Amino acid sequence: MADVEIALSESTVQQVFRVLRGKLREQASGSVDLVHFSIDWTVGIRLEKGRIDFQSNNTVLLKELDIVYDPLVVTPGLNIPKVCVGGNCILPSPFGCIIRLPRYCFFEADPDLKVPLDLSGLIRSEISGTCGIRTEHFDDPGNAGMSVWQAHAQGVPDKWRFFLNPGWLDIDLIDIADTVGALLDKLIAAVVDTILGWLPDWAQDLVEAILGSFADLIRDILDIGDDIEEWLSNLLGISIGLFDLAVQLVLQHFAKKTPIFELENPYPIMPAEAMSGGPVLVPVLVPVVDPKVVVTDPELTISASIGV
Amino acid sequence: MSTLVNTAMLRATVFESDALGVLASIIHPLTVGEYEGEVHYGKAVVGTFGITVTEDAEPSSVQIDLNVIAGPNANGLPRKYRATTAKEQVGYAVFYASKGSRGFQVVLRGNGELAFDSRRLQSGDMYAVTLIRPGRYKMHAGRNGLVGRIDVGRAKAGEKFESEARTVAVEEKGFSPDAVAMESGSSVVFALASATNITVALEGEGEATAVRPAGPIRILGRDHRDIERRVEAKRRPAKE
Repeated sequence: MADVEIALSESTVQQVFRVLRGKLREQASGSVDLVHFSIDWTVGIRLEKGRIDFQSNNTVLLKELDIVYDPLVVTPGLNIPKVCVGGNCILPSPFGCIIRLPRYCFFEADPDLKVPLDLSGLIRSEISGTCGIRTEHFDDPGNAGMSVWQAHAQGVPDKWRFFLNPGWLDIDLIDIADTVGALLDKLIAAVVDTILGWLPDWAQDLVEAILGSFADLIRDILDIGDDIEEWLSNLLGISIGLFDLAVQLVLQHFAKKTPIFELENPYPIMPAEAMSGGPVLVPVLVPVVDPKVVVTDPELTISASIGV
Repeated sequence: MSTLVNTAMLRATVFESDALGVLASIIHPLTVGEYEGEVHYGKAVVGTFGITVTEDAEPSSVQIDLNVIAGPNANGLPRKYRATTAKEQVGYAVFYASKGSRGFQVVLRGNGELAFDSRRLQSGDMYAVTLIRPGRYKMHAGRNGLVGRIDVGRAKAGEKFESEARTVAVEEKGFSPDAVAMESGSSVVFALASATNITVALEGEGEATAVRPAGPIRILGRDHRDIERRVEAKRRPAKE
C-alpha cells in the first residue's frame, strides 16, 4: 500500500499544460533536392490553443493543439533554362540538317536562382492524440559526489519526473493564410525581375516570346497547379516532411524534455530548522519509492511508498 | 545569380562580315582536304585550328566558335574540326563568335594555298546575322555599293515565337529581295553570288512591323543550287 498520494485536478494539470505548451520553441533547417528544383528551408515551431481531457482509462486526451510555424522560410533553388536565339536550319536534307546557324544565348549557363519565400506565421496545423503518463527517475549530474542533503541545499536533487507520453498523434494541416497566394506571386515577380530586370524592354519581350510567360515557366518548374494550398501542403508535408518533423518535435518536448510534474527524491518532509542558540537541524528527507500515476476522469493521482 | 550574362548580344548594332562578332556567322563551302586555319583579331593572330573534310554519304557542316579558338588551350595544339562532303557536293564550315565584340577574321589554307579569307567573301559563301534588337537596319554590300533595308519588329511577349531565317541573294545587280521584314530573334542569311563584304547596321530604333515570309527558305549560289536540286529530287516522289 502506498504511503503517499498526491491528487491533481484536471484544471490544475490544464494550467500546467498551458505553461509547458508555451515553453516549446524549436528550430530546424535543412535542404532537399526535388526533381526540377531544390529547397532550402528553415522552420521554427510554437504551440497555441489546445487542451487536455482526463480519460477514465488512465490516459490523457490531447485536443486541437495548434502548431504555428514561425519562422518558416522556404527558398526554392530554380534552374532557369538558357535563353537562346538562332539555331535555324538553313540547308535541310531528308536525312537531317546540313547547315544549322549557331545559337546565341543570353546566359553562359543555365542560371541558378534562389529567392526566399517567407511563410512565417501563415501556416497552421493541429495535433490531437492520446497520452499516457511516463515516469522517469532523473539522476541529476550536478550533484555527483554530494550527499542528498548537500544536493537538496544546492538545489540539484535527484527527481522523479512525470511526462505526457503520446501513444498516437494525428496532425492535420488546418490553415494556409489567403495571403500565401499573393506571396507566391511576389516570389515569382522577384524571380522574373532578377532574371529579366536588367534587360531592355524589347529583350524582355523576346525572352518571354521564346520561353513563354516567364511567370508561367517558374510556376511550371515549381510544379504549382491551380490549387496553391494543395501544392504548398505537398511541398511542406511530403517534400520537406515538415509535419512529420513537427510531430517529432512535439513528441520530444512532452515525452522527453518537459515533465508535467516532478517530485524531489528524497523528498523533504521537514525543512532545515535553526535552533535558538543551538545547531541547525538538517531537513528530513525521505526516499520516494516506486511512484505510480493513475489517471481517472476527474483527477490525476500519484502514489508512492516512502523509505528505503 | 552566378551565371554570366552575354551582354554583347544586347549591345550589338553593327555587323560586318570582315570583322566577325556575336550574332553573326560566315558559312564557307569546303571540298575534301586538309585545311589549316588562323583566327585574326585586329592585326594579331589569336589562334590556329585545323579542319579535315572527308567524303561520306551525306555532306555536313562544322560549327567553329572563334572565341574558343582564341581562348586558352590546355595542350597548346591547334584545335581540330571535322566535316564531310558527299560525291559532287561540298561540306561547310560555320565560323561564328558566341560572345564578345566584333573583330574576328578567319584565314584558311589548303595545301599551302589560300583557300578562304573572311575579309573578302567569295561567291558561294554565306553571311548570316541574327537580329534581336528591334529597329530599322541598313544592309550594305561593300564593293558593289548595294544597299537594302531590314525591318526588325519587336517580339510579342505572350505570342508563340517562331524564329525564322530569311535568305537574301547578293548578286551583281543588288540584294534580292532588297527589303526584309522579320521579328526580333530571326536571322538573315546573305547568299553571295559574287565576291564582296556585307555590313548590317542599325539605323533607327523603333517599332517595325514584322512580316512572315511565304514559301520555303531558299539558298542561292552555285554549290547551294546543286544541293537544293538534289534535296528537291529526293523529296519528290518518283513518277509512275
